Amino acid sequence: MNNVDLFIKYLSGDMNLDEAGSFEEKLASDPGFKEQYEEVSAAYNLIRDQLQKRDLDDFTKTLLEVMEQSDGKKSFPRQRFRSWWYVPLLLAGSLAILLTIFRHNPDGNRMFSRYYQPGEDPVLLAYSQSTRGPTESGILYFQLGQYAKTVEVMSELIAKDTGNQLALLYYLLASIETGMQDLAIEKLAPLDLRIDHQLGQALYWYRALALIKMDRYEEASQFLLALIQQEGPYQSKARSLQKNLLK
Amino acid sequence: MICNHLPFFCFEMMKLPTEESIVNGIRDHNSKILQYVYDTQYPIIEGYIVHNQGTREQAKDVFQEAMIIIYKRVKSGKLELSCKFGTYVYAICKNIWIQERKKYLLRAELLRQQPLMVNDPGPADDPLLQNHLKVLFDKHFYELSEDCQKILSMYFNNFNVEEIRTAMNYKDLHHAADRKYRCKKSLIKRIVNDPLFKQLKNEQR
Repeated sequence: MNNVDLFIKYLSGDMNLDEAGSFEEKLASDPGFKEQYEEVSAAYNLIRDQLQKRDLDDFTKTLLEVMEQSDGKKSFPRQRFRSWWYVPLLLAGSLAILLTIFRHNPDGNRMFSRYYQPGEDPVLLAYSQSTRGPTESGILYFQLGQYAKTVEVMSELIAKDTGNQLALLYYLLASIETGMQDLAIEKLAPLDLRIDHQLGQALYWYRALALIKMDRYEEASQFLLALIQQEGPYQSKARSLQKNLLK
Repeated sequence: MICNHLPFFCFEMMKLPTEESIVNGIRDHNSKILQYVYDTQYPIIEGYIVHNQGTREQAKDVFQEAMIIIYKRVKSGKLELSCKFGTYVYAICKNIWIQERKKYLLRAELLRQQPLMVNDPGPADDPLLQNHLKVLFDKHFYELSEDCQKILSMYFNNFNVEEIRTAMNYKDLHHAADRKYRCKKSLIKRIVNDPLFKQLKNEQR
């Protein structure tokens, strides 16, 4: 075995302890051997660094492509209507929709949109990150925007255990997203929910928001009052929303 | 089990990928798995960053950095998931963001105290030297056979001999190990004998 073979074996970590020991002794005592080793070692490190960098660059490129594609997908509907002649049509349509909304309900939807932010809710974030057991797939469907699937999965779990608050919460959220909140409100009505726990408080909060979306302000106000009296993550938001409702 | 080897199949069957298939997908640059991770995890990270004085652009940078950290850990075999993959991503992003905020505050404080700071990059960060090293490497690497290129790429990215054998469709481990050794030796010799290598090695000192 010539020196290059020895160096490669050492650098690849293929020597046993005894072999490595004698090799290191020779390195320390033979300057010519050491000089040759440093040359091969530098080439070895160059190959390793370049190949690892190339691999990482490939991964980063794929990741960025995926991120850009996802962003492109999200903004696709906006890009479709770029022709100028759509603009007056869109304006007229938007105006008609806004008029319908405000004639029917001057503040409810505005209030709902302002306060309904499940993506920024620390309670939901915490629950979506911890080990979730059977509710996991339903929560994932919710995060993927597949609300009908969430309703389906959570309904099954609620049928087995009516007190499953996490399933109830995501059932309610998915129902709000699909505009079927009245069904969720009905399902929640007979239940006695505990408010001394964050999950119960989340149910009170989103139940109040669902009721506001349905213009049932007085009922919503009862839930908000309960949240105001209870220290927790929704207390200040409930106070602010209650003030807006009273206005 | 099938998801470990064929992550696409999981998607075709409309099943959610397992933690293991996510890790394998990241290791193999599987764009469907990366897409799944991005779609399910990024909104949570964006929510966290924006809620903590960041912007959407910063959220993207943090997410990308976290994925690179995870990728490096997967590659080096140092990733040990003791929790859900999503929890892991969230924890890493949170740490990165806390560090970023600390750095930002420190930079602001340093700028306040000492407005002008000039940094001289060492040889490791010298872009010209790095470029020469890349040229030297590419010149010899692409002279090798395609098989050798593949084998070395796998070897230096922590694939073991069995994985190399499977990927290259070699009959036995001994043949795979022998090929790996010969390719390594051939490339090292080519690089060491190049006059540019000696010149660059002296510059790096």
